[in-house]
Amino acid sequence: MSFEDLMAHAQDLQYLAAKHAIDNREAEPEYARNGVDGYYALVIPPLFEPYSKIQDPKVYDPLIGDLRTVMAGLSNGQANADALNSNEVYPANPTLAKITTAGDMMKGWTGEAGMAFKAKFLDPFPMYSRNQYILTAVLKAGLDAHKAMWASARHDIDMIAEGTIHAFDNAGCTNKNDWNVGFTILSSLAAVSAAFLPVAGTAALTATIIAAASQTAAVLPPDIPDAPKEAGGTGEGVTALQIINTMKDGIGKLTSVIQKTEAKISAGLTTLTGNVNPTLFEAPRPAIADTPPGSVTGDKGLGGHE
Amino acid sequence: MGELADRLDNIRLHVRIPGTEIEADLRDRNNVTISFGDGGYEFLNERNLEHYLATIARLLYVGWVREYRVAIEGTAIVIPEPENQADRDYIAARSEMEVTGASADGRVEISAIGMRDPQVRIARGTVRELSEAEFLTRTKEAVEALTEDYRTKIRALKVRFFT
Repeated sequence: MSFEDLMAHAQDLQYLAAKHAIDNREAEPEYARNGVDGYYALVIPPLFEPYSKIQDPKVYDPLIGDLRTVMAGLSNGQANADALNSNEVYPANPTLAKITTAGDMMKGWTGEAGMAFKAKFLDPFPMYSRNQYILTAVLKAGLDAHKAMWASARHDIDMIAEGTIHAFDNAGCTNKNDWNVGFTILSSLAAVSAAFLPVAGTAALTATIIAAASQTAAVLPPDIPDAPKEAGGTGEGVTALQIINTMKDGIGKLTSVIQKTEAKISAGLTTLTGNVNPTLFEAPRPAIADTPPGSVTGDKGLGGHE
Repeated sequence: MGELADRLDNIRLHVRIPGTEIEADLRDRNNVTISFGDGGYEFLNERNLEHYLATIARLLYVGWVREYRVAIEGTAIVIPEPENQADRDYIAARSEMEVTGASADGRVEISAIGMRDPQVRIARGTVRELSEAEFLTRTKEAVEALTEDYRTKIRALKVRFFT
């Protein structure tokens, strides 16, 4: 079984359900209007169709790759916690040291704009670049989470289709016809929670942002109450209608987990962007940039060198 | 149709009654072939045959249950623990369910309660009157009738307890 064949599985299920109902002479009120075939033709494909249109999660890769490049450029060798992904390491970018060097060189200049340039632009530069790094990491975590969510959703819907086909295959056997599909999407949900909790809860990001701008404390993203963990049926699975209804229920649960995961991702991003103050990510334009050439070395400019 | 159905169709079993040359093969779920070894059939009487066929039935059933469990591994199918009264009632009714299957001429009849302890009845004079091949055809018919009866009754029980 594979996701690419999802709609073919939907057709198989249509056939298996109708065959099972007819072979066993099952009469259900649901079949009255359109017959057995008609009922399943109306019910089954629409359950799978939206899922069949889920994009290949690989479409996120180029975007994630771009953000990785940005993070590599901004990295001053932060702890991995700041990258929000313990599997990724971003070595410090030595080019950033030029700012420190420039700061040292500015020490000897006594003019107003020179001192302001050092104090307001060069000195806080590591904080700005770190904030930019963290913001990029959060955006990347959002994309990583989406990628994982859709990959799991594709896997889980395929497993539900497969589990239901197995339930039809197994229907004649002695045991109660139970099937059970654990949602892998829950692990992506857990990953999302792990990625975003630091944004709101721990010191890494909030300390930087709050200390720099006296922001109020970030708001925790709303927690997800008991997401369903699996699809499947217990105690049913005798008639075609029962088997298909169990499947329908499983798909409904999967849909709700996707919605909850999406809500979690968007809450994580909103919490962060709600706290983003542009002045934390970019230094004000230094006054020295607008000093006319003739007065660069004046008291209002760089001044003299000691 | 499905992959699990194929796996179940493809289960092959081979059993041999210890200390004898009597062997049996099962394929396609209920297609049983028995061989008595060279000249074995003519030297058996009906009572011995009944005993041997019952042993074969027991061995095949045990083998089937084992292979079934292997076949559902890695699928979404689970063999559940009873969770409620309906489950317990179903299991109790299943263990008391009597199934029978007889050949078209009625000479060979197999019965079992809850698929445990199968009993075989072979009409007296069968070994003298039927060749080995004819006897095996009758046995095959009885096995097919037994599995059909089992399928029908299991389905009825499930309908009774779970719908």
